[in-house]
Amino acid sequence: MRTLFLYITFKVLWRFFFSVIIGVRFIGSRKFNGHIQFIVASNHNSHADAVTLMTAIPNNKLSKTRPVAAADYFGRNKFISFVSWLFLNLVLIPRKRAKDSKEDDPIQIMNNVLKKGNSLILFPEGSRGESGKIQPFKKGIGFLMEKNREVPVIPVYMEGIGRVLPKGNKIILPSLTKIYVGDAVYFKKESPAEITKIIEQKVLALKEKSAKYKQNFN
Amino acid sequence: MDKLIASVNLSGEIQMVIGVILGILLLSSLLFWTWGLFRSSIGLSELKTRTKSWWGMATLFLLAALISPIITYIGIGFLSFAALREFYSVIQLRKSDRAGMLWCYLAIPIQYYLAYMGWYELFIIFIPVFMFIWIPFVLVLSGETKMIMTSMAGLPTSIMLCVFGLSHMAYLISLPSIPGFDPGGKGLLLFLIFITQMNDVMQFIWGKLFGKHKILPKISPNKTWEGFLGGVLSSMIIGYFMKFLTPLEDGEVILISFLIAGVGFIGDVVISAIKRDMGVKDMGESIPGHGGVLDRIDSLSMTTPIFFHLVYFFAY
Repeated sequence: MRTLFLYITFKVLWRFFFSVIIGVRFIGSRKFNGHIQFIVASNHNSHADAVTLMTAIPNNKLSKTRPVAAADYFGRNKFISFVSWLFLNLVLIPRKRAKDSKEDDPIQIMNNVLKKGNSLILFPEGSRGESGKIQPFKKGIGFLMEKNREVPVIPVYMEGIGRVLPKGNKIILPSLTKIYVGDAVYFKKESPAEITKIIEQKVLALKEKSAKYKQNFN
Repeated sequence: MDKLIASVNLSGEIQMVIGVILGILLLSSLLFWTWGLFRSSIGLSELKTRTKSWWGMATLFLLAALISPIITYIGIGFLSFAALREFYSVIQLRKSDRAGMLWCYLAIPIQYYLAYMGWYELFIIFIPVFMFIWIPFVLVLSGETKMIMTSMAGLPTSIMLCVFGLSHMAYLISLPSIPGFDPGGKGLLLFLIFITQMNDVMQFIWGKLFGKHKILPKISPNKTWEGFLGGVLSSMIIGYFMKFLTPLEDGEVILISFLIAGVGFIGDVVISAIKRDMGVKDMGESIPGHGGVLDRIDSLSMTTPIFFHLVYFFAY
């Protein structure tokens, strides 16, 4: 039931909206297929990012894929947090937390979700940045991967989505957007800091690929 | 549903032109295929991609234009939308222009609804008068004056190019029928698009075969005098033989074909100049071999209103 609901929401409504109206094109979305579980690590430019990525997730993984979002925004009140669960399947994590409290440790929350067999969509930049610029990745993803080495990370670079709904703006406008999906990366012995670095480099490499693609046209 | 498909009764003239279009496509596909058997090159595979895209575009256009008028209005409206979206994805605008851009998008359904209603007086002034006043005001309301002049010029231009010009195609369908002239608005639409696109193709072919003297080397290095003049001449000849799609006299049809060719060239180089300024080769990449939607309809955005008003002047 939940899968059907999410299927209609993402694969019919949002997909129509994003591909026909906004003009989103995925390059390599097949790379989401064939994994039992995965973590999508993407750059972050707008509130539309998570929804857009969800439209490309394979059908049978929809109900088990959960974008990670900030609790102070998407959990402002009970209604908004209910809606963001119902329509977006979000996992909420606190950006600021009380010191040494084990309960709201964001890594722990994400870890629990992963251990239940879910996949995650993560934005390691932490907050939305300016279109075309990638901020340094936060170390959290490294600590999370250290505990879940069997789960692959799929790097993603979204180009132009910052023009759809930029930070500090309420108007959604169509704008041709390309989303590059990279190859899955597995981690064996790397330290958390190294893991974070590698993922950051993979996303930057996709960005370079998009820039080269553009140059070919010039 | 009855209303949707009731009108698929095409006049003999239109059926003939559909045959001609499919014939040209078939012939060029066959030509490039046999050519490829003897010698293949990068240039040829580019031509093949282009021809494939022409098949797709012709099929889509014929379906949209001939099945039912409502689908024609929606289809041309979506063409305007896709062109405007490409335009905004390429040109540099400020964050404070977003409200203005939203209004420009909203102008599309309004303009096409006016065409559908056939309310000529409002259709013809809605964008050049009302939007021309409204858009700068919306920009002023944003409160940001730095570089506002560029946006005040760019936004109205964007809807003139992508919406106002193209919407005249939709109004062709709304024109009242003339007794004794069977093809009607559909015939006029077919004539306009056929001549404009054949003119593009002919300019390309003449330029490739005989092109030597460049017209505007800084803007469009592939455009030559030989290509341009050959294109104009070919368009006039093709236009003369397609006269049966229009309610016009011999001289009028030749004049209109001449102007379509000339103005089509203007539309082409105006969009090219914008692309140069923004440092891109194509406006988009939705049509393989051609670039974006706007790269294909750059000439149409200007030939359409010229064609419409000349036909309106001569025949109505």
